[in-house]
Amino acid sequence: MERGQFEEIIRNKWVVFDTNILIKSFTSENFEKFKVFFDYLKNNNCEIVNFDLVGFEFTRNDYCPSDIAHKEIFLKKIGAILLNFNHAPDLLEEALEISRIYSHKGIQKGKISLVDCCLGALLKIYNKNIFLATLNHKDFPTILFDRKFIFPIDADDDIHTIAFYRFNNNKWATLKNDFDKIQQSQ
Amino acid sequence: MDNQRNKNNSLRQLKKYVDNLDRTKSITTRGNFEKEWRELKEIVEGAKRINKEQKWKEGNLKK
Repeated sequence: MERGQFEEIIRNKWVVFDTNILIKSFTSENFEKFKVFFDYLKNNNCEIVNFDLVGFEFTRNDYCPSDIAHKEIFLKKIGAILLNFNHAPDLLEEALEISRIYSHKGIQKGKISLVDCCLGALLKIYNKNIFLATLNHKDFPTILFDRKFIFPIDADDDIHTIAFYRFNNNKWATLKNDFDKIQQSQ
Repeated sequence: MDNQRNKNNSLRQLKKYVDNLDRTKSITTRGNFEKEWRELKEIVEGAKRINKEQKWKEGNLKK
């Protein structure tokens, strides 16, 4: 999708970050390089929303209180409302359904991630308003999600390609239909 | 000792500060982006500095 075209649909929307973006931007080496990405979101009046499970992944490997505190402050400063299971009571159920489809289609074979399925479910539930920004493209397959736009960041250690994903209800309906047929035939 | 106490105090102040931010908005929409970005940079650099000191302390403890 062209940049201008994408900006028309992302303007005033919510963007949830995958953990990899937080991890990459929370380093003094990369931090300034990621400013262009935050600038882009700011210029399009996008709201960054935090998601509980992403917060868990971001801080789970820390034990030192000051490390944890710095990361928590970072998260709170970046994002608005913290989305969690209270905001979407069906989240786990939806995530489980997505995992069934992944399993059926051989996606993340044997390594289906709870957090990725929950992120997928979040995109499904808030489909009209929310986009996911991630650096990991295999975890959000285009048979289910639309990769709307790619935003490259030229950093010292690497070229980071952030992609914006949106849940596609039509793709979901087709996949679900195929899956239900199998269920019925058993 | 005093140094450690100062660090803990400034972390506590930072925590208090972020808890008082308008949590219905994010850094991109609160309206003070450049100022908040500079503050965020200090947080990232502070984390790196403390992390180094922590590793150094742990290294010394193991000796």
